[in-house]
Amino acid sequence: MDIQVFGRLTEVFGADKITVDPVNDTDSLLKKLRQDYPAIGETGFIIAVDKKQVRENVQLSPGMMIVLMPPFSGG
Amino acid sequence: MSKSFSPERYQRQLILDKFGMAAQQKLSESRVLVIGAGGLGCPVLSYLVAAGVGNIGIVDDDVIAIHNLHRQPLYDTKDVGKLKALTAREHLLDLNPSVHIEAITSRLDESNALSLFARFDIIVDGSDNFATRYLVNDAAVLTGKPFVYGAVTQYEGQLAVFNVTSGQEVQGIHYRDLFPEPPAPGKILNCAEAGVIGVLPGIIGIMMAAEVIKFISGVGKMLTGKLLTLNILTNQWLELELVSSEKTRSLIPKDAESFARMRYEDLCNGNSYGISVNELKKMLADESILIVDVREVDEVPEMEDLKTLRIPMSIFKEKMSGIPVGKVAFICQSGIRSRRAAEMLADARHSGEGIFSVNGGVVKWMDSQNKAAHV
Repeated sequence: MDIQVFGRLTEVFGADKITVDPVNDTDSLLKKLRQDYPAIGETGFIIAVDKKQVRENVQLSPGMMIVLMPPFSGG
Repeated sequence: MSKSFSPERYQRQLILDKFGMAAQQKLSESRVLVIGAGGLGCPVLSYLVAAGVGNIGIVDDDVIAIHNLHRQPLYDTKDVGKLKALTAREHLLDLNPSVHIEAITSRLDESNALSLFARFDIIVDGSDNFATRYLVNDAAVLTGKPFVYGAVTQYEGQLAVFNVTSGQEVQGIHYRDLFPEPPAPGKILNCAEAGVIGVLPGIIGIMMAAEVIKFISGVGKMLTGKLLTLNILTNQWLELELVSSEKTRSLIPKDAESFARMRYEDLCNGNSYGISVNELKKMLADESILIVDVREVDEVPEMEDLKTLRIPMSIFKEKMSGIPVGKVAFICQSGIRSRRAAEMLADARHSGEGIFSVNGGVVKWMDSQNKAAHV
C-alpha cells in the first residue's frame, strides 16, 4: 500500500512515497503510522483517499491513492 | 466607486470571449486586500494591478532584504532597506497609475484585521507565518469575506480559495477545515529556515491572482473547495477535494470581541518573552530594567507612573540599535506589538536573554494601578 506525502512529512518519512503493509481502513493506517513515525503528530495534515479529504474512517482497498498533506507556511 | 478605464490598456483581455467590458468594469470597481508583499504578494500585486483591479490594499510591516530579491522581482537592488508596502506601491503605480493603491505598513493583528477586511471584497493571503494565516482565516470567516490562500515551502506550493459558498453548501470551506489548529511551534519551517526556489512563489502567486480575477469577473470556475499542490521538481500537480466540518467552525472566535482577545502569535509560536504586570513590578523593584513603550506618539493613556523610553513601532526597526545593552521590557497597548519588538531585538542581539514583553500591555498595567489605588 503506497502513501504519498508532501512538505515537512517528506522529512519525517525520509521520502515522498512510502510503502506500508496493507491495512483495512484509514484509522488503522493512521494508528500504525503514528506508532512508526511519532513525529507526524507534530505537523498536522489532512489525509486524502483517491484525491478526496477523509474526515471519518474509510475502508481501504488495494490500488487506492493515499495522500498525507501537511500545511506549508512560507510566502 | 465607478471608475473609468482606458480600453486600450486592456485591449487584449477585452477582446476575449466571455470577458469584455463588463468584466473589466467589475475589475475596475473591485477592492482587493493583499496580505504580505513578499514572494507570493509580489506576483499577485503585479498581475492584479496590470489587469486593472481598481482598488488594492497592501499590508506588510517588513522591509526589503537582499535575500528577498531572488523571488520578489517587484523590488530593485536599490530598494533594500525600504518598507515593502510603500515600495511596492511606488513600483505598481509606475505600472498602472489608474489603480488606487493603499499601503499599510503596520502589522496585521487582532486589533485591525476586522475593520480592514470589512473595506475589501476579497482577501489574498500571501503571508509567511502560521499566526497570520490563522488570523486571516478567522477574520475572513467573521467578516464573511472570501480569501485566496497560497503557501510555499522549498520546492512545493499550495493554493486554495476559502470561504466561498458554491451554492449547495451553507458555508464555504475554510483553512481550519484542513488544519483545525496550528502545528506545534517550530515544527513546520518557513522560507527563512527551510529555503524556497525563487520561481515557485511566482507560479503560485500568479495562480492566486487568476483566482481573484475569476472571482471578481465571474468568468471561469474557481478552485473552491479544493487544495491544489504543485511539486516543481516533478511537475506534479495534485488537486484534492476538501470536505467541511461543523466542528471546525467552533474553533473560530464567535464575534469581534472574542476575536480581539485572541493571541494568534502566542498560539502559533508560544510566548517566550511574555511577563505579567506583576512580574514587571517585581523586576522594577529588584533590578535595573529599561521599559520601552512601542506605541505611536499620539497613543493614550500616557504612562505617568512608569518611566519609559518611547520608540514607536513605525520607526522601531531603524531606532532599535539605540536601545542600550541590558535588560529591557517592551510595552504597548495590549501586548501584541511589544511581543513583536521583543522578537526583533532578540533577532538583532542574537539572544533573547533579558528581553521581555509585558502581557496585556498598558491596559493591564492601568488595571493593576487602579486596583492598587482602590485597595
